[in-house]
Parts: sequence; structure tokens; C-alpha cells
Amino acid sequence: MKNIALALLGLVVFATNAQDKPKPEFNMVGITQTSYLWNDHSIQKWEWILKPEMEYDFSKKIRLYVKGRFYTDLTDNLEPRKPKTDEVSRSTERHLIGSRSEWEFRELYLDLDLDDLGFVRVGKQQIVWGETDGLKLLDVVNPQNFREFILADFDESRIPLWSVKHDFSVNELNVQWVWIPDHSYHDLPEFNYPFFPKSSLPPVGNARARFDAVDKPTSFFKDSEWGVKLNQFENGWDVSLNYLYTFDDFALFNIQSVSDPNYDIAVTPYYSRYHLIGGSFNKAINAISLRGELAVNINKEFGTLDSADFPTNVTKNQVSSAIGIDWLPGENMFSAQIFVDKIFNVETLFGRNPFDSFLTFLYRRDLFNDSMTIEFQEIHNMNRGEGLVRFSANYFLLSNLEVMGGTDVFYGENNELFGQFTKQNRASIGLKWGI
Amino acid sequence: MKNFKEQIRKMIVVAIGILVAILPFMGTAQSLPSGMEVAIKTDERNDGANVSRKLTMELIDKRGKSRTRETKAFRKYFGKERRTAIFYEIPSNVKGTAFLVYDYPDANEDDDQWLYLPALRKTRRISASNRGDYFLGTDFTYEDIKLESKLSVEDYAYTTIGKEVIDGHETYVLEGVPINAETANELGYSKTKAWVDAKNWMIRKGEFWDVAGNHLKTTYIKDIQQVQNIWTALSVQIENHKTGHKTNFTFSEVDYTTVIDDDFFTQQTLVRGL
Repeated sequence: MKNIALALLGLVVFATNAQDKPKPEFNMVGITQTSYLWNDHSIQKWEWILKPEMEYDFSKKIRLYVKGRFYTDLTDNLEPRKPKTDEVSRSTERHLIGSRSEWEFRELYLDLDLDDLGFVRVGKQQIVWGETDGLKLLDVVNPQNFREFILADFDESRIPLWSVKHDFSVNELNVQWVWIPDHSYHDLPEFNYPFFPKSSLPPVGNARARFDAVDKPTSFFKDSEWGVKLNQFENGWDVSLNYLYTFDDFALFNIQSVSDPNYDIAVTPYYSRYHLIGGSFNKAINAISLRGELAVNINKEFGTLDSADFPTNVTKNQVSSAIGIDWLPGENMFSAQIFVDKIFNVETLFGRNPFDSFLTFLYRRDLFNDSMTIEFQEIHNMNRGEGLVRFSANYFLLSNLEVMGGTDVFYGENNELFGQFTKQNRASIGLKWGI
Repeated sequence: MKNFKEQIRKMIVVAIGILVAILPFMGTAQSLPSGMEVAIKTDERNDGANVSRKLTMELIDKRGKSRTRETKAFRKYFGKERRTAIFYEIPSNVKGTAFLVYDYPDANEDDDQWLYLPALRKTRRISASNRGDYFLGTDFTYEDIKLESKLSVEDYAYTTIGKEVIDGHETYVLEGVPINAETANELGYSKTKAWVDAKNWMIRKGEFWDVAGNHLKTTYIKDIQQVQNIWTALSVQIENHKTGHKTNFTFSEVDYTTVIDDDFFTQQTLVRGL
């Protein structure tokens, strides 16, 4: 992977020094955001982000794209000191600069137009599947950084992977196959970080637990992920069928007794494989747009509390589905989604219920010829009565300068998925500018 | 009997007088083409099998503060089906936003429209019944964007109400009324007026009234030139009288001759960009 990165980096250097026209195009986006925790009366973060990007066309058929990301949090509260990034491969991980800053190539890829043979994108990239907003069923090709749980934009929190994506058409059928040899998984906050998901830890009672290093897949080919998406647009219906042979990006825990005078058990996180078969659709019907998604996860492992003192892992099938409706009268947008998720043949799981359901609602209004947008969003778990409410507003001061503000409010019991973060309820203000 | 003859003579004189009075107007009416004839002329005007161009959008609020967007816009005919794609390039904080529309020749078939939002990295389907909504902060509606500088022959009944000279060019003045209330609500207009150039069938000016009958918008097509032998609007200005907001569209690098690949008009290209 490092060799591929170096080769692509070499192309960047070549592109910036190339004498022939056309010249590379440079852009940059800068963002600063400050968040205030009203429970603690303290600043949660004061981040500065610079995202330079470059495009270079070697020819009409070959393009190089590079997007970097420099990040610094002046408060060093979200990830105090140097966070571990064990879940992410060496070639994909963020490069830490001191305790407050980091940089990474967010994207670094070559686009190859192969005419009738289709279009290939090779390099570090994001591959996005699915139709839903806020919660993910098919959008699981890339893992996610949970530094701010799900508060960061998915575009920011999705972890781009070294991968190959090939799109081609067979008559009216669009085919996309993806190959991902990058062994990177969700980047979860550490134990003492504000957004550490306590609810995902296996309950071990009073046992003295030793947490060992994560057991990651190692074989470049054998442990690579791959998938296919078939998509067709027919009579106003956009329909896709998806298959992904993937790893669960959340680690499972192998718990065993140990003969160690200091510990009773050893907890070893590991990643397990499963098959995802699913599909999506969208259709405009009069004034509304209807969209839906289905994901059937076959032979996926889950931690269960059914028959042992400590969680044991069982292989089950899971069906997740979502249906959404969008209505856009004038400058308003109303959007609602229902998510239903069922894991079969299991009684008790840790961290979640075998049956789960969510309702999401989004209202957006564009004002003053889109120079201002206000947005209200709620994600509500119908089983546990917990969730997240978000309000945001942004205003274009200039063509390329936006001011943003908003609030994020978690509600629910503090041992639940959303409720555990009520101490992180916050108000934020920020600026975004394009150069 | 004498009185009767006198009365007949008076009636004939009055009838001749009326005829003489209205004859010039009858002559004018006969010399003007019907509204639908003119609309069809604009609709049938050659606008190239395909075209690519740079489109600069300037959005000016009532206080004069302006925002600028630079895009690349493409249009191509697939038989009688017209497909349009617009890709935002500048500024970098909106770069990647893209819009695609399939405009079907069958008036009973709804258009298909998609909007790609780079922040979500997802494409949103836009209902065709939203065609009267404003397009991405401009003062043009989705329908205006789709029609470009043509008149819709399906949605309006037109009447030619006269001739006027606009910027030194002779134009037919057309009044358009939506064919029914449902169409008026969809389009957001209860009446339109168009000044159509009598020589090249380009629209030089337009007026719009909202569904409540209030004067809503005025558009001027300021710069019309022949590009590769095709009449082309290079500068279009529109003012919304209700909000005081203005939008200026400036077209450059117009190219009708280079064949645009069919792939430009797909959701895949919307997502990966140009």
C-alpha cells in the first residue's frame, strides 16, 4: 500500500512540475468551529481545518486528484494527547503532529477513462452506497471516525480507503465493482475521551480485565473486501442491487480466562467477516420523492449474553431496512425516514436490542435566495426513547465565506447509545471559506 | 317609405364608417402570426444537437451584495429527449454540486431530475412537480433553466398582442397564459409576456406574473450572437420585483461542434464530477 501511495505521490510531484498544458488546478477550503458545552460551561473544541486539493489532467482520459487535510484542535479535548489509531491501517491513518494536530491525505487517486470499458478510480477514496441520510445501511464500504460520534459530517468522518472502483455499463445496466485491500475499520475514541461509546463495551462484572491489542486481519488479498453494485434507471425508478463481502467495522471481543496474577480475563478485540446483500430504490411520485434501502447481513457475528457469564459471540443473520420520503414545497424540505433492524434467533445482545427501530425527521429551509439555510433534524430510537436533536443555520457572508451555528442535543438514559453523550450537548459556531 | 330609405342609407353609412374604422386593426391582426406559431418558432429554433459552455451565475441581493458561482453546463438531444447537466466549479466551498435533468418529449411524462450534493456525497431525486421552484438560489425556476431561451408550447396558450422594438430589434409581443390552474401552480406563473425577435426567434425580454396576479419578474437577454451559426444568448439578466433580488447569467466558451459524450448525462458522472 505504501508503494502505491509513493507512486501516486510521485505523480503529484510530476503533475506540479509538468511543463505541458494544462496546469494543475488548486483549491482550498478552510473551516473553523468552536463548540461550547453548556452542562460543563466549557469549550469542547476549537478546531481549524484546511483542505487543500489539486486536480491534474495528464490527458483527457487520465486525471490525478489529491485532497489533503490539516486538522488542529486548540483545546485538545476531543482526543487528548496522542490518540491511538490502531483500527486504521498504516497507509490510511492520520499523521499526528504533537497532541493537537494531524494531517492526512483524505483522497489521493487516479481516474482512468477506459472508454467502452468504463471508468476506473484507483487510490485512496470514499465509496458511498445507499439512499438514506443520518443512519447507514448500505453506506458501509468505508469505515467511520467516531471522534464526535455521528455529529461530524459523514464526508468528514468517513475514512477514505485505498481501493479500486470500476464502473462500466452493459446496455442500460450500470455495474460497479469495488476491491478494498485496505485493512481499516471504525476509528473509535479511547476510554477517557468525550465520545467514547461506553455502551459498546462488553460487560465483565467484577472480573479484572486485561484489554489486549486488536487482532486485525493481515492477509493483503485474502482479507481484502470486495463488492458489486448493479444499478438501473427504468421508467422513473432508480434501482440498485448491492453485494459486499466485508468485515464488520466494529470490533467484537474474544473474552477468555487467563492465568495472570493481575487479571482474571483477557479481552481481545477482533474483526469478523460477513456477506452483505441488499438494494436501494428511489422514485419521484408527483410532489414527493420516495426512497428505500434494504441490507441483509448474512453470517454476521454479534456479542450475546444468552448463556454465559461473559459475552460470547454468535453468528446470526440480520435484516435492516429503511424507507424515506422527501417533500420539497418551495424553499422548504421535509424528509422522514423509518429504520427497522432485526437480528434473528438471538435473545439478548450487549450494546443493543435484537430488534431496533429509528425514526428520523429533517426540515430544511433555504432563505434569501439560498444565502441562508436553516435545518432541524431529529434521530429518535423508538424502542428506547432516546435520540439526538440538531438545529443548524448557515449564512453566506460572501460568495466563498459562510458563517455557521448550531446546537446538538442528545437525550436518553446514560447507558444507552445516544443518552450516554448528554454531557456533550453543545452549541457551535464556525466559519467556512473557499479559496 | 322615404323615412325607411333614409334609415337604410344611414345604417349603410354607419356600417361603412365602422368598417373603415376597424379595417387598419384587422389588417394588423392579419399581419401578426399567432401566438402559438411564434412559440413553436422559438421551440423549433436550432439550438444545436449538443452544446457545452461555461456559465457564470451572479446573484445580487436587494442591497447590492453579490455572490458568484462558476459552472460548466452541457445539453444534448437524445432523439427528442433533451438532457441537461450543470456542474458547479467555483467557489470551492460549493464545488461538486451538480444538477441533471432528463426532459422527455411526451408532455404527459414527468421529467426526471437529480441534484448531487457533495457534502452528502449522495444524489437527491427532485420531483418534477417542483419545476416552479427557484433553481439553487437564482431567480430562475427549474423550468426556466430547462427551457433555456425557448417557450413551452405544452404549458401555455399564447396570444400575439403586438409588435415592439427592443434594443433596436423588431419583436412580437406574446402573452402566455398557463393552460390550466394546475399548470399555473406548478410553474408559479399566472401570466407571462415574451418579446420574441421577429428575425431569429430569440426571446429578448420576458415578464412574469405570479399566481396571485402580481408582477413578479422581468428578464432581459442582453447579448445575442451567432456562435457557430447558431443564435445564442450570452447574457441573461432577471430581476425579482417581489424580493429585489437579481440574477445575471453569463455564458462563455460556447461550443456546439464538439460532440459531448453520452456519459456526461448520467448519475455516475454527477457523482464523480467532470
